[in-house]
Amino acid sequence: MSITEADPRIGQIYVTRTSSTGYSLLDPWLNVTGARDLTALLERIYQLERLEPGWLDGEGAPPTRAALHQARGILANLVMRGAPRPRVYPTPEGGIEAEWTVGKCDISAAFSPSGVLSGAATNVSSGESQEFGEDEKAEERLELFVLRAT
Amino acid sequence: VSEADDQVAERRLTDRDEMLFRQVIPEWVEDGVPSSQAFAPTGKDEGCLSIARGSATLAQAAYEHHTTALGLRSAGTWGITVGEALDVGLASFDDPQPDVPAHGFVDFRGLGRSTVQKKAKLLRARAHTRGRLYP
Repeated sequence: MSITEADPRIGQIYVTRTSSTGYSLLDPWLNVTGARDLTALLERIYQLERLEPGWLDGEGAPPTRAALHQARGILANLVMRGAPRPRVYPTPEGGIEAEWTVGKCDISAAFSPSGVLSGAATNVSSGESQEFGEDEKAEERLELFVLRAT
Repeated sequence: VSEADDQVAERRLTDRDEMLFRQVIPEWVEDGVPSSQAFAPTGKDEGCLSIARGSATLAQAAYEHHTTALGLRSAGTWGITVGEALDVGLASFDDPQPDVPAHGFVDFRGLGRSTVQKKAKLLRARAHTRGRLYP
């Protein structure tokens, strides 16, 4: 992905399509932080796309296309809507896990190898936890958790 | 109490201040922050999260043993204490192995997936607050 500053006075930049990430054109106008976060997010997912089998001490399946596709779409959408950039990690089974730390709240979103989203928000001080997924409302619940926490 | 139970009880770690060192694979670190997955056992671990006991080794030595003697990759040593594990309901045990004399484990056995993930998040938070211990 490449970014071109369009108007530094208002801090907006133009986000263009890149063939390396294979990501389609998104909302072209984002603030600078959002665009940088989006670029970093997509680069991280692209990095995980290149993992080889056995990445976890000889075990660990590389992320599946379904998990990558879902993670890329849903996480990019969240960042574009103002959510902080999540940290993104592979799972041993070939899925993707995104994690946010917002104050005392630890939010995770897991994309299974088949691309199904589920997750949880945990208060790391009190230990209280709320889970969501694996259903059609999972994306909506994730968005609520992340945007409400920020 | 059976003989087996006695043996388990003898191996339980009780010093709340003892550090438990955990090696984290590079793929599970982004922006210097370890994934909560690094503090949960994977399928092959059968509910036992491997750690190196602080009473038997140091953060640097644990890292060097893992990467040099065992030939495994690590982004560094993170740590929690026996007390922090107990506070989230997890006991820790001494479990020396021929190739890892300082080996021990945090016991997740018998817990469901969501409980494991929740406890792993709590441990990760403690470890991250403490920061990477080596290098």
